[in-house]
Amino acid sequence: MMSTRRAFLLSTAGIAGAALVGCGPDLPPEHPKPPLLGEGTAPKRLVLWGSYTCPFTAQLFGILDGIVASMPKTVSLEWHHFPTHAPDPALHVAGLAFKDAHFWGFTRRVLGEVLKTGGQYAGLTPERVAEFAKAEGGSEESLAAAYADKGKWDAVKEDLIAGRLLGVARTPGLFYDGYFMTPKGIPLDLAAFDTSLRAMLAQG
Amino acid sequence: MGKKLACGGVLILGLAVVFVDAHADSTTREKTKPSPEVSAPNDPTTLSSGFWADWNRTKSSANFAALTTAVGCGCGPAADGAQNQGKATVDIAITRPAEAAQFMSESVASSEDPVSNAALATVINMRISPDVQQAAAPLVAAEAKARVEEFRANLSTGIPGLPGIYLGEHADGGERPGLPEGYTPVAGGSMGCPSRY
Repeated sequence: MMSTRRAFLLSTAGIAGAALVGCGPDLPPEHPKPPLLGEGTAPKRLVLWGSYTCPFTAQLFGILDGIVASMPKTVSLEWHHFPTHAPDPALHVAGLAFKDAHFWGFTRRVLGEVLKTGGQYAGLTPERVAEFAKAEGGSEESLAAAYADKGKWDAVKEDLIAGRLLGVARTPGLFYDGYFMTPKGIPLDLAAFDTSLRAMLAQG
Repeated sequence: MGKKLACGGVLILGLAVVFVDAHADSTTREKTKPSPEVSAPNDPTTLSSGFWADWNRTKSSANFAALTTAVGCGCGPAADGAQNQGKATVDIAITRPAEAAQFMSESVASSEDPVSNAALATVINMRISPDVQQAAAPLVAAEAKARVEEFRANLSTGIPGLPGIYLGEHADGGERPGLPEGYTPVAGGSMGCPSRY
């Protein structure tokens, strides 16, 4: 266990070192696409910075999931990672082990667990995460491969930096058409927020 | 003898490394308190510790401070997004070409690594529509022009989205409404998870 952890620490140090050494004007080659829920051709896009351990992210995601499902030709949802609690980064990297529907399936399972436990994320144990991964067609091996992938850790860090630069200080951070919709977090009245978002998207 | 000493030295060094590592584990657990049990190899908190160490270095770096100043997010170590805290909705769009040119010149000059560059590309896409970017290009500071051009050529953050998918073109350099059309702010308080790091 120690050697595994040390190997991880060394690889992480290597990643950080490589990032420092590799300074240059270029963007990373073959940049991974942010996960998109819904149809890419939908003319409107909600952009969400969320945390896998935040129950409020889970609540808003439930609303947005429903909106995209009921307005598929109108709006899609783009996900960005915004880790807020200690275990978050690895959970987000685990999510990036999956693509398309399986990414969203994994995301629903993790956020569902956090919501079910009233915001407690201690239940997101390695065994539970592996269980979610298997349910989405993954395995402990695919999770290990994701954890070893520098590009996935970079993707999470990149999202965190972007979110911070956009002013996100708490999750969830929702953006639409150049507006930061939730700088104080989500409204307590979720039903009214759902209604207002749908009215906004129905315009134009 | 020399060989025994060398082996002993390696053993002591090895034990010291194990002690330091075990202590680091203990410190991490105390800070995050995920569970009283010993962390499993794939424990998300343990796996994430290197990320947070790297993030803390990034967050406290002069380069990140310069970047946060350049984008005016109020998100540096001292401000921490406080400028947005009292507002229900914030218009982040930059619609005037001159302002966009200044934003791109200063922010691009402050971004020095691939991860920050990609993050900044997302920010620029979210705040400046393609038309305004185009209009701003000739106004970019001479010393930053080449880098901004290179940046704009690589601005896609992955999804080959529709033009203006993040930011509609209705602004046309003028004032935007304070709220998205059709949106009614919801009264009665709000809730969220503050960033701990």
